Amino acid sequence: MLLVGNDKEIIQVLKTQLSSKFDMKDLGVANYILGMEIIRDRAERKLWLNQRKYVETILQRFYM
Amino acid sequence: MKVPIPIGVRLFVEQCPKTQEEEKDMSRVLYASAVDSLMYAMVCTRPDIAHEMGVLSRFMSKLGKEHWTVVKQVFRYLRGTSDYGLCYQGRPRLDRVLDIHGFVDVDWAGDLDQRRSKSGYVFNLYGGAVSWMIKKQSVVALSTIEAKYMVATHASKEAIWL
Repeated sequence: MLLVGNDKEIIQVLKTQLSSKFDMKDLGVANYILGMEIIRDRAERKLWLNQRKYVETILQRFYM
Repeated sequence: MKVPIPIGVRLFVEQCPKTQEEEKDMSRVLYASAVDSLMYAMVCTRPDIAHEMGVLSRFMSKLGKEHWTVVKQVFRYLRGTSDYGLCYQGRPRLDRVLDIHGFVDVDWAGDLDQRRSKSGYVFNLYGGAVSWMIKKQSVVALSTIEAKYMVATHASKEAIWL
């Protein structure tokens, strides 16, 4: 599950509430979602999405 | 490779196999599943191959060697650009506004079989594409302006939703 928000505290509260009801793990900052790699540069305020892994997988799948 | 399909390569129905032997040859390639795999990349982070996917998906049922060659070229393009993706960037002076830009274009009579035109638009949010589409127009446009009005309509509908 991916949590997005512009307030860290609210996210933290939601996380605690969720984990009190459900058995779940906190994997920290998201790196991958649906096969897309997320790269962030907080100082530059940039966010990249790419599918390098997926492209490599399909290249292999079709022997390219 | 810098572009998925070299300029000047055009695909049309005439290129489909003429003899049974050719047809048998082409039935061995995994065209549909290759196009499907590429389509997933296009839908997620690769609007740059959207035009090619639109063209290639038209030949699912009757494909010739030329069509398969283009699939391979798209794969080769992806191999060279596998780290390409979308980049979103916040700018301090735009903190309070929603930074959306939309672009449209049209490929007049780009479809050589039916002479339909292709509409395309992309909407950028904070510098990265969030919504894009390439679609063959449903009627034949007699002039570039007519085709452009159609793409502008498509894009405006999307813009209203955004």
